[in-house]
Amino acid sequence: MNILTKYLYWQFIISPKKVLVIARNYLLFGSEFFSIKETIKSLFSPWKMITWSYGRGVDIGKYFEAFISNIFTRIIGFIMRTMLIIAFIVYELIIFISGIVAFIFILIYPFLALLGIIYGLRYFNV
Amino acid sequence: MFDLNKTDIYTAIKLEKLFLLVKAVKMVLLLGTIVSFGFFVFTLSNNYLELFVLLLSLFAIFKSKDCFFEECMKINSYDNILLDKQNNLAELLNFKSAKIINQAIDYAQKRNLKYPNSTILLYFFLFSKKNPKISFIFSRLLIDWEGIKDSIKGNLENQLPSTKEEFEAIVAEALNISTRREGKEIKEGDIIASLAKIEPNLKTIISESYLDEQDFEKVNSWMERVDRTIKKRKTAWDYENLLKAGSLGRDWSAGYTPTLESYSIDWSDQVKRRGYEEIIGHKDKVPQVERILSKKEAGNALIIGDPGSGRKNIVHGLIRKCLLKQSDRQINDCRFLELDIISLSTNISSYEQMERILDQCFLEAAQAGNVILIINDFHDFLGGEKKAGIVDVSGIIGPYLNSPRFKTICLTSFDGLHKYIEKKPSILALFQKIEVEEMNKDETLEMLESKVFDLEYQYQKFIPFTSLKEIITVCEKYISSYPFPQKAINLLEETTIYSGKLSDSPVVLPEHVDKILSEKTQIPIGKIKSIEKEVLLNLESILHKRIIAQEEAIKEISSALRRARTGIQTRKGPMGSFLFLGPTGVGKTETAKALAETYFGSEDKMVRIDMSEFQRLDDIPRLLGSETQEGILTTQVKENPFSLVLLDEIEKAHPDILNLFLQVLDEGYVNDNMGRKVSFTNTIIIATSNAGYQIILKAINEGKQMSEIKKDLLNYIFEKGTFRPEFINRFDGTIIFKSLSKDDLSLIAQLQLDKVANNLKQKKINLIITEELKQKIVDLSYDPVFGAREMKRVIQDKIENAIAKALLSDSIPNGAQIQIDPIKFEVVILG
Repeated sequence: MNILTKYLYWQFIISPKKVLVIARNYLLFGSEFFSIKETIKSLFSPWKMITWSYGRGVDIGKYFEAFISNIFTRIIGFIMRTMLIIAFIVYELIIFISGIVAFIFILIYPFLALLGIIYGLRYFNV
Repeated sequence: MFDLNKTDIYTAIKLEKLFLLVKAVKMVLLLGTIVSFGFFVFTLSNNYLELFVLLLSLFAIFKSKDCFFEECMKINSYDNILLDKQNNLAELLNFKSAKIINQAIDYAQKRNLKYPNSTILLYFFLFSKKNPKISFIFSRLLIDWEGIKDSIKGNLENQLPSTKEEFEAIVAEALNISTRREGKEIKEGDIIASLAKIEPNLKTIISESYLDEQDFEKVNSWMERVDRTIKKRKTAWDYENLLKAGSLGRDWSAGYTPTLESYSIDWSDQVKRRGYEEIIGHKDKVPQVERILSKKEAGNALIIGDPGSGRKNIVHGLIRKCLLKQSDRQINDCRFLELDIISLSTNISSYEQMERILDQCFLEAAQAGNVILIINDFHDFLGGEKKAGIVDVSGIIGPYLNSPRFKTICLTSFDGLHKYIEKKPSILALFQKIEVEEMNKDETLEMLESKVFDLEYQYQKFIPFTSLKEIITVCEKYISSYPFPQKAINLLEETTIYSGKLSDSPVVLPEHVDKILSEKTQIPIGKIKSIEKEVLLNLESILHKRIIAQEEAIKEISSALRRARTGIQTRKGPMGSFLFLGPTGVGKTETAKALAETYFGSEDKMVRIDMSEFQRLDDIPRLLGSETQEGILTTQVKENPFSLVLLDEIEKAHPDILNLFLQVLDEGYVNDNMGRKVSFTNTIIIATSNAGYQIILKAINEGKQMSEIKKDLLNYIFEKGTFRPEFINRFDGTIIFKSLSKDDLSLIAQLQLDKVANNLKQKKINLIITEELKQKIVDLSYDPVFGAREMKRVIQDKIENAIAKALLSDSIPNGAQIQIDPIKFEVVILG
């Protein structure tokens, strides 16, 4: 492989591939950082698994109290987890868009640099 | 094959100057870009904008070329180091090695040498001043590389040519070295390690110092490991590095564990704080623990090993894998909490409350669903050693251990397992055992290397590789109360701390290691090492200072020990093993004492066991230890691994007990009743016996030669079945001690009386020893059957008693010269 071919291979294959790998790493990391699988699986689970026992025997008052408390803890769990899922979606979108931009930029920046030189040569009134 | 010109790297070497220029222009353009941007911001002039865009575009292009050179041109494209011999070895060189070799080849060819020899190569590698890797190797080995460079420089013009085969052999060996450290290319350190095997200057340094060829390779591997870690840390976008940021919301789906959190230590945090260190040693144990904990049904791991053998390291390795999501999905998200017994016992005083809290902790761990509970020294929780606040949890923990939601890793020792846990078979049945042996020397060395930089930073000392090597050597030889790696780590830390007190040197030297260990163990280590050769060469004359006659025996012992210590014999057993046969009182035990003093520095370094106490099979536990008592043999050897083991009157021991020693003499170790290996590799074993002494007495009276006597004696012993041939054959030497003549006894009398005279000298009394006195003592104590044994008693009765009486009655004035009357045994004052 001569030096020119090597350069083209590096500029248009190796470097963009590296950008894609980095973007993929950040995307995958997002799902781990926000523990997304566990969060979705336990979306309606009680907050920190805190529950109240219904107890034995028939005690409507106690049963009702436990029921309300358990609903309440599930609602808190749902709200917290939904917020986490939203944060995850925002993060993934940002990374995805940044990745695409970086990928396109790395492919076209030699041409952008050439355009920049042509534009900049005006300084010398060329 | 080696042809540098045909490689891609060669193009990079040729273009390096051009790209250095690119780098310089890039920096100028960057400066210009910043300045023009500044002007644009202040003036908002289109002109400056155009200039800024121009400079920025040019900078981008030059930057791109610079990156291309660094990331593509200079990097070897070979991924697989397994290179066919037909291929070009030069393809595997990294840029720096290729560049240096190219310089050496150019130099050789200019002087009509087709290929550079090893010395020219070494010179050019040393000449690359700023190469941190070469500097690392030489400084850690405490080699003055400037000195070598200067000495080579003077001779550089007179170097002999090298053949193509010789030159390629150096690179091929470097490739082997690289393969052994799992490298992907041949780096500078690999070439240096290869040169260490053949280059004359390096070989001279090696032969004159404490180093060996392999040390270069070991330091090179150390350096490459450090280099790899640093490079890995720099790639922040690496998936593994990103995962180190942790996670949000993981605990939200798990149960709440307030009590457990109050009384536990989070090991996951510890692993994070330690920077997700890769574990060293016991790597095969991590998947075993992983498999146990990943089971869907109940899975509890019991890690058994001596404290300091790296048990916790295994758990750290597992936690690291889990944090980096490299383990099984079942346990990847788990928290690893250790029950903090200190916090429990300081906060809770009542036994009942402690039980309640522990039950609550276990319940929370089971309900949380993401907790793996670590219990250190588990035996203490099962009625083990009674310490403050310790409770027997066997009743509480049993049901939890059966639950698939309760996962635990318990740590215990072999002692703890046998003494306490095995007594609760219902609990033990709920665990899967993982036995941990002590780390080997290579792993321990790697462990020490990983600790060096922190210690250097903390104590502002430089720790060379030679000191680490010395630590491993002396720990193996002299410390057996702790296993590797703990004993080596302790010694490294102590030496680093105390070396400042020993000398002003900023370097922790091997001598410091010896000194610290000598202070700890009371073994004169440095002295032993330096005098060992001298002792071995002059062993006969040294022993004869204490042992009268027995020339053949002493000669045979000395020769056997020289053979054993110089490595002529390939052996795993003790340093030396001898069976002393002969009548009583002829110097067998005295020879053993003299050997202990000569070889181990003191008579105290002798483990003496009277084998007549072991005549029944039931006596084995007393020898090897049991649950209730320590073994007389195993404990003493464990405490004094560098010692002489004297097995007195071995013929009186039970034959099955003798069989135990077959393994000791053959393999150099015995397992105690706890299953722990007790090593005898640093001991000299001497067994004494007077079996068949009548044969010796008779044969000497008949004037037989020593070789004949030995033959007759062994025949007699085998006929009588005293020892079996395989037992006798295990010894390095069977030494026959002949009975003593009257002349021999006269010399012994002189020695014994000299001792009395020396004691009196301290009281400023001069005892004159006359020939008549000596003769009288010999006459009174001579008995061919009892040898010199009677003499001690006669001297006590006749001489020492007489002097003691005279001293008590104040009849001997200070500074007097006295003599003992050989007839009446009374003190005669001469003046």
